[in-house]
Amino acid sequence: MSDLSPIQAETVFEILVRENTEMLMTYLRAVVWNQPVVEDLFQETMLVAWRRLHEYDRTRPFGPWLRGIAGRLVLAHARKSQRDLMLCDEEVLEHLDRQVQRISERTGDTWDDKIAALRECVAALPEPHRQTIWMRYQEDRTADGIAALLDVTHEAIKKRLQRARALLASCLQRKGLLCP
Amino acid sequence: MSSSDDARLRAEFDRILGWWMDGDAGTAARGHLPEATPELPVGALDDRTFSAAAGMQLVHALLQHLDDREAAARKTRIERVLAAIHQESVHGIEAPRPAMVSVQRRRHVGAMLRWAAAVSLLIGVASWVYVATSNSAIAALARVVEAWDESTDRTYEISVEPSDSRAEHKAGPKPSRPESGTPPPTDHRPGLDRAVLYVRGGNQFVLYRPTVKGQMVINGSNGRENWLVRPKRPVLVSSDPSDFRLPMPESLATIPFVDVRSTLLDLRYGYDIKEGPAEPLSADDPTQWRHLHARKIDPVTKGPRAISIWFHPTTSLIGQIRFEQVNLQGRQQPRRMTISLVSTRTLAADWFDHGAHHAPETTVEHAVP
Repeated sequence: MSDLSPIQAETVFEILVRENTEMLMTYLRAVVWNQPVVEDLFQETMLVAWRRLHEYDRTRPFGPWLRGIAGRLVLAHARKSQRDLMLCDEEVLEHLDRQVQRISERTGDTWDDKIAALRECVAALPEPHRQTIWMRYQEDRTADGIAALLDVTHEAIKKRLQRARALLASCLQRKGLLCP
Repeated sequence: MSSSDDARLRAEFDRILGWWMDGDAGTAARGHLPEATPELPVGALDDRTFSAAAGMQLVHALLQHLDDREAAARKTRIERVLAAIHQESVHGIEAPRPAMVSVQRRRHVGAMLRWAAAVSLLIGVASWVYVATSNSAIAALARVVEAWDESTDRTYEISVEPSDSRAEHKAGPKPSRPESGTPPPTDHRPGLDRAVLYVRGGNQFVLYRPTVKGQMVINGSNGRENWLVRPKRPVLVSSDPSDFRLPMPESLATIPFVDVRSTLLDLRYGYDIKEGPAEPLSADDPTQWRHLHARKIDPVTKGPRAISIWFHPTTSLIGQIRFEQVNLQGRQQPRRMTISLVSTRTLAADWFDHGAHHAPETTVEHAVP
């Protein structure tokens, strides 16, 4: 990328940022539960990518290069504070990288197009599971909040969410979105 | 490992995943749960379990796209990155990291009210130089003001340099003395040089100002609230625009920016304004920008000695404003200040809210009316 003028480089990078934002957020959210830390790592990844844009080989896809940067930042964060992260080590990151790459290679103009199967799988869930997933993710409620709203125990909601995610994982594998 | 051990491990593993994914970890982090982060026996996990973990964590990540607010958040996220890289690209300044702003609980709301909006300068300037000169100049200025009110999103950069009075109108101010004997400024507060100003319509703005340490101080207004974001300090918010004073030269700081039309009526005297030949703003600029030059003729009138405005021949959008001989805080000699359009890209819907410029957990303090 060193052959580009500063303005060209900024324009090219803007396009790459727009194309890869959802992919990168998905990757980070898959290992970091703490949303402010996700946002911070997202910004940091993009800034490091910008500073190292001259190292990027344009003959190769941008996504894996960006995830490589993000993975290193996540592991660096893990060394400082493990408490913001879910299960996260090099093996998990490798699995994730393959899974996310698989989604990236699906047909569709946008990330939403590529993960359209997710909505189909959510719609196909049994009603109690679908409702719970909807309240957890579409309305951003915690398990505690959902339990209070539905007047069931916290543990029951957690089991329902766990079961719903397992059903979704199976459905997404059948539809080819996730690796078996 | 026996199948019962394996089943127990998977069950424990699922329990811990739920702890992370469904809010317990956040509740514990806020001190509302006594339990510590559960320990996962990572050493006992095999590749199949790691793969399953990656799959479940990815499902959790994908599901977060269902959130209705995600589309707006995405746009803000992108704008933040682009603003940061633009800062780095143009000025070599390390970009601000809003999510890393540390949370401190302090109560100094009053201090922030001395800061305010650079945008008022831009909004007010058209009215300032609206004097009885020529009908064509007045008509041109009127169009500039209308374009200012109606335009959508604009990004400007501010630069400050020593005044070059020779470049001014021949009837302009006397040349200033060289600054060779002037000690360098010791003021560590953020300056206007290298600041970036984002504007929407007539009353929304965000101003990024670098400090000498390369950090950013951010002023802004969404038209309802004015706010200030500083590194490692609480965000300060006020709903009373009159509380604010501009981080601008004192002579420019009195321009009201809420009611441009009234300002036009109030400030119609004091300047002689002429339209010069249209010209490009740089060597490779294909646009011939119309050019107005205003020179102060009333010594009682506050404001710089001269103001030049370049505006688009079709849309009347301001491309550049240059103030000659303005007195800046911490500078003994007058300076030239130039505000240049760099982009008309549409910004995120919430870009003019303070929340788009700091971490969600940062303390926000509202001024008491």
